[in-house]
Amino acid sequence: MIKKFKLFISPIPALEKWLNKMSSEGYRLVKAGKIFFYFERCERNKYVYAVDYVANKSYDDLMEYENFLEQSKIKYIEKSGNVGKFSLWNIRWRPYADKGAKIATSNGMINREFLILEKENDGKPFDIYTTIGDKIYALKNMRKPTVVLMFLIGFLFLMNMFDFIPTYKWTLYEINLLSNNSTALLLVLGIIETLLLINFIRFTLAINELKRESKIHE
Amino acid sequence: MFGKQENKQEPLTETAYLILLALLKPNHGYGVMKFVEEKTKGRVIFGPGTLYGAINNLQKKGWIRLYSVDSDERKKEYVITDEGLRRVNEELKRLNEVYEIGLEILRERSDNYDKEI
Repeated sequence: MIKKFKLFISPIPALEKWLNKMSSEGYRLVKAGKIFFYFERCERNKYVYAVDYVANKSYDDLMEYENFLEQSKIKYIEKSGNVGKFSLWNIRWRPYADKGAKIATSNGMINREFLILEKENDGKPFDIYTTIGDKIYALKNMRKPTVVLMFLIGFLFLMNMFDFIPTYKWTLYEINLLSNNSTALLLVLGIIETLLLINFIRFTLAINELKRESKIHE
Repeated sequence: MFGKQENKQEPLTETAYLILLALLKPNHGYGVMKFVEEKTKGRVIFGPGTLYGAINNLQKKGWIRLYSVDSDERKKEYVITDEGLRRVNEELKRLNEVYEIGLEILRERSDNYDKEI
């Protein structure tokens, strides 16, 4: 088994692209951890990969979906992605999830934000969503964590800018200890906010493009 | 105005239409996908996310229903309901109407084109 280290800022479609590139070099994904990926050797291009975002699904719904995939002869590998959620011991709050899925617990949805789908390569493209409506819906779900994080970071940024010390002291106490002055903290928050904004704009542009398309095609 | 659209003339999506047709006989999700791929000669291949969502929605609407679940609750088969059958027949009428219009107009056009030559 071959172990590879890889970190993605926005896993879809970068992860998808990387896995398909690995497949073309003769590597098949066996397991996916937080930052490590495990591969075994196989025939080149034997499998194709697609990554689905499932953090908005409830536990029951995800089990149902996984069962459906098994029936459809598609292998899935669960992958955790640590974006836009708040942890308190073993409970996580996801403000962007569907109703009934907002609180994730350890036996449920924690560490199951993405599903990596694997199918035998039949020469056809492997798309998880094949109608424009579904593509828009999927992109909107993927955009939600970015929006939540943008509000959170923006809030901390403003608190810090106006020197409202008590707030950032308990929220970002450790970062503040490291930097020891609020300019450095402002800079860090500013950079994160900018990256989030870029991500948000990319999602929004893609959604708008699809919306225009949906006026003519299904 | 903003509520549920229960208008009879509301067109079905191609996805819903084809799934309803595939479920005239009891079938499971993968069977539906294969049926549609074969009938459309590979033009329409449902992605798993799209097919899963569409089957769930049609079931919630009551246009298809669960037909059988095997012992360990893994393999689920679905079948069309009377309501689903009514909807698919309506859609067929609508499709026939737009098809006839297209044929008529395009025929006129090609007739005129021939005369010009």
